[in-house]
Amino acid sequence: MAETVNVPHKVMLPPLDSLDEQTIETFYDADLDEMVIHFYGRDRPHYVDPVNNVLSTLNDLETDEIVGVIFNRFLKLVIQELPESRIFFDDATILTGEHALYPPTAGSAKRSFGNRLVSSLRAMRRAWRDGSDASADDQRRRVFEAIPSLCS
Amino acid sequence: MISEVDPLGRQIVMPKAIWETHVISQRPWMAAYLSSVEQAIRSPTWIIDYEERECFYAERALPHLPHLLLKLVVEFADELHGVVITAYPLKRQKPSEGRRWPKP
Repeated sequence: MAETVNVPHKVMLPPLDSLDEQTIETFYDADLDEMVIHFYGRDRPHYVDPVNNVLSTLNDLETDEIVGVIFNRFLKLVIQELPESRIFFDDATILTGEHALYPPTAGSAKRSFGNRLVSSLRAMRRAWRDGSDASADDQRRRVFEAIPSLCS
Repeated sequence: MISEVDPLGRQIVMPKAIWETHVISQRPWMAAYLSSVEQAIRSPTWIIDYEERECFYAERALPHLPHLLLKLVVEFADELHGVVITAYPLKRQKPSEGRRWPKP
C-alpha cells in the first residue's frame, strides 16, 4: 500500500519515492510573491487548499490527492527567514506582469533540483508528522526548517 | 480580453497577456474556465480586502465543481478600475475578516 502521512489540517503528502524528478515544475509569481511547485507537472487539474499563511497544497480535482505545494509570501517571509531558499529561483519559471521568464532547462540541473526537492519533502513530512499538535506558528517554523535541505 | 463590471460598479479587466502568463502558463487546464472568471467578476459571493488588493470568491462558478470556490486576485489602479492578476479553484471556506462586499 502506498505510504501516506496524516498531518495537521489533514495534509496527505504523496509517497515521496513515487515522485518523478522529470515531471516536477516550479513557478514563481512575482506579482503574488508565490512559489508554486507541481509534483506531476502543470497539466494535472487541481484546487488550492490553504494550510496556513505560508503554505498551501494543490489537490487533484477528482481524487483530492496532493499534487503540489505553494509557498506564499516567498520573498516577504520565506527568503527573509532563510536566504538560502533563493535556490528555488534557479529552476523556476518567473511570472511577472505580462512576461514569463523561463529558466535554463539543462537536464542535469533539473535532476539536481528534483533531488533537493525530494530531500526537502522528506524533512517537511517529518516536521508535520512530529507536529500534530503544533500551532500554526510552530507549523510554519517547521516548514521553514525544512527548506534549507533544498540548498544542500 | 475580459472586461466586466463588479457589484460595486467598478470596471474589472483581465488582459489576454495576464491570463496567459499568470493562469494558463502554470494551469493550462484553466482555459476551460474563462467564462467562470467573467461570472466571478460580475457576481462574486463575497469580496475581501487583502493587503493592497482584493480577493473575489465565487460559489458555483465552476461547472461540475460545486464544492469549490473560484478565487480571483484583483489589483486596483484607482477606485474604479481593477485588473485580475490570477484566478484558481479554491477549497470552499468561510469568508474571512476584511469583507468589503457584501457588508457584514
